[in-house]
Amino acid sequence: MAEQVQMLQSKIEDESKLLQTLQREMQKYVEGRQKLIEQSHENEMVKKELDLLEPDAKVYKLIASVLVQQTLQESKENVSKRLDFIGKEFKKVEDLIKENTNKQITKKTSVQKMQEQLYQIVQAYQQSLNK
Amino acid sequence: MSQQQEEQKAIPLDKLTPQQLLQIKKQLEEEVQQLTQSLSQFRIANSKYEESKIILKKLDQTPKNNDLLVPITASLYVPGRLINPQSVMIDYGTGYFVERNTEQGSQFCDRKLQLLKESQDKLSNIINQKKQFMDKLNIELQKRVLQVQQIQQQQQQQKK
Repeated sequence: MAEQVQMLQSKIEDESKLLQTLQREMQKYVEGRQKLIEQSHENEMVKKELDLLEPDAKVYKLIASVLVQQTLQESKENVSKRLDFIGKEFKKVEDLIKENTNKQITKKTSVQKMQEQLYQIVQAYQQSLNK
Repeated sequence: MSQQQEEQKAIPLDKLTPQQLLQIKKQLEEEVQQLTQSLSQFRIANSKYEESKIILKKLDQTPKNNDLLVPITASLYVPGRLINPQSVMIDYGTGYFVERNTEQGSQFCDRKLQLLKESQDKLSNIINQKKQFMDKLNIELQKRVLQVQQIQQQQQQQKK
């Protein structure tokens, strides 16, 4: 009995540690997702403003403390590409979050099952003592 | 959707223990505080854009070749001349700047102010909803306190 209990307890400990790692991962994913949302908003706003400009408007891009002149066409393309990239990254993060949630659910159920097993073993042993 | 939310929360309200009610109330208070902070940040952004508009108007009235001091660092200024009071550089975001005249700059500020106003209104609505829910919680908590007082009074009367 004691061997079984020890084995189960160490298994529960291992699974709980894995669960904690999963939760920390999840936090990073959620933070990353939030950043992507912010970036996407900012780029959307810039795109809207650029669309309002006349074709010969002077557009500059800030490249490491230097304002470099760009054509309106170039800037619009650049912002569109950025938006596409952010969209793809967003989808990746969402998939990772889904996967992580599923893994957490499986881990939690397995920990619960093992805890129930442990409880039953201890109960059975106590009952056998009372007899 | 908000009606559904209200019903979802109204049904278990009666069944929650006072501790749970207090917990939810605490959570709500924190949320309302954070949201109110965001609201004040909105107001700061608002006043900045309004200030920019005023400055743009003043620029319009400044004559060309006006003398000015250009800040090179936080403590070093260099004398200069205002060559083109009509032209302003606007920070659009994500590292893009556009050269516009003061009229277009003012329109840009107006558009941003419009966006800010819309977001502020949404935020105010959410804050009000949460405050209303907190009032409901407080009423429920008061009910519980009254119930406990009534039970205590009954018990005292029975002892007599």
